[in-house]
Amino acid sequence: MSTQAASNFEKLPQEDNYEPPPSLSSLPDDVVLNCLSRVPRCDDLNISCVSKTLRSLVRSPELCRLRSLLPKKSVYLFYSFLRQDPKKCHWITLRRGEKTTTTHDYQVEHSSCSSSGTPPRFSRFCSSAVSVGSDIYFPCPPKKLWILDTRSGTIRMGPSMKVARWVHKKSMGVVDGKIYVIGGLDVETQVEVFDPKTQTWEFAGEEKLRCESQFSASLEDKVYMVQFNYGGISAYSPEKGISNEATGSLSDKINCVCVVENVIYACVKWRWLMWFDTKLKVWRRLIDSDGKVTFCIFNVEEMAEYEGKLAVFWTHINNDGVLKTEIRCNMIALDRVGEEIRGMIESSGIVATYPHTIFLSQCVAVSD
Amino acid sequence: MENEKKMITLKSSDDVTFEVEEAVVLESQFLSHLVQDCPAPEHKIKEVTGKILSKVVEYCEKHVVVVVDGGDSSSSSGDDLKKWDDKFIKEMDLSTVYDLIAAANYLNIQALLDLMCQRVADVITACKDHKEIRETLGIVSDYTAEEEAEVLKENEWAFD
Repeated sequence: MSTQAASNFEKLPQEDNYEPPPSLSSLPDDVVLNCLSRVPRCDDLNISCVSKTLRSLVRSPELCRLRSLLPKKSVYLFYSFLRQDPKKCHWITLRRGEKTTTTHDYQVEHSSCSSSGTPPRFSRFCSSAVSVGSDIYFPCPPKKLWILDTRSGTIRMGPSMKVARWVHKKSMGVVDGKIYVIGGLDVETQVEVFDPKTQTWEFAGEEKLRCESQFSASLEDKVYMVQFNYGGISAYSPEKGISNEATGSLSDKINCVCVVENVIYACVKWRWLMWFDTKLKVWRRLIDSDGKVTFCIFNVEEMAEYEGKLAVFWTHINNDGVLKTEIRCNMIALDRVGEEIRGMIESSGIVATYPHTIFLSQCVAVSD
Repeated sequence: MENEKKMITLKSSDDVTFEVEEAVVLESQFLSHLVQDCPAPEHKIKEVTGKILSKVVEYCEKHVVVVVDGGDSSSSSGDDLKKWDDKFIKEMDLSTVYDLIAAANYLNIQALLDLMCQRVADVITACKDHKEIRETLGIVSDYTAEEEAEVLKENEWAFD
């Protein structure tokens, strides 16, 4: 193989005088888009300076769509604890790195940051953050918007929302790179949208159907709103508004919701992991690799996508003489087999330990 | 059914032949349709040269073997495969990458196409500015001098 590689290198483009040099431009647009979707967004400006063709591809909605389909690169898990500095925000990050071992394909970083005001107080059992590019957005009722820049690790306050909303009743999601916030009002369902490029909020219309779902997930150009009790689902699309997708059929309350490779997953309290079949509009149970419907898991408190897998987190208090709280994580590899999705716990471990009680509050996957 | 593995011969545009197991061919959606629709022992692929087809076959053979051996697709075989993929793309110059992208696109081998696109993305990411992207990727600018100056100015502003 090495001799072949060597002969390839002898034919470097500059020595080819008799034929045109190989060029990215020779490839069809959809392939170029596939390449561009894998480049970090911070290089978009550079790329748009290269040529008009590339500029129009960088600006196309298709690129946004492709990027949203790529596996997310890192997971941000936020937590809080008693008597913490109210101006601080704490989280751990799981990402691929040099210290990645064979047992865990991630490394864990601990971070915190201070803000001039009081950063978001997340409430559990509801979705309160979304990511666009490398930023995490927290629309915090009644009207605030906090933005965590994951590159610099700083949190800042963004422009306020136009409408005051209730914490547990609002939904939010990302469609075409814009953040939609829906519901959380007493009467009508007013939708507003935040454009990260212009950093402005705008009204996106009023919906007849009332919406008060605690969990939300972005999928296929829609925001899916999932109810805490029994998992009733409605979907919002900027073009078509809100539609009811499924009535609540789950046996209990939901702990958390996330999307992995275009599928919505939910963890039902103390019971199982479910996924929502958007075609048949039913919840289905995740089964184990033997095809048994027994895929049962601990009381998962937070979960998110990590490299195409489902990363689930929960806390475990260890009190053998000295109090310790552990954050535990299972990485579940997912495999679609016909009409079913099978899960396999690929790794299981303690990602962090604290000498006091902590509370997991929110988990977000970030793609670059 | 029978233990005998079915073999299929692929012939490149420049008449280089490759004898592969049917399972290898099934990695390509295009070829699996072709094999099903016309059960000839040999298939000529006019759009792909021998040099590139050898790479395609190498990739598909590796990926078929791992899936079969792994059975439960244990994580170690997944890791090995990833390492193999990394090595596979690192040894290639860009013109081979482009040809392989065109081939993977034509033969409809999504995993190979994605792998190759990732390689191009890594090359773009490693470039420090638009000039280096042009040079490295062989792109001719279709901006006029004035347009380019304007775009650069816009971006300078965006960076502030």
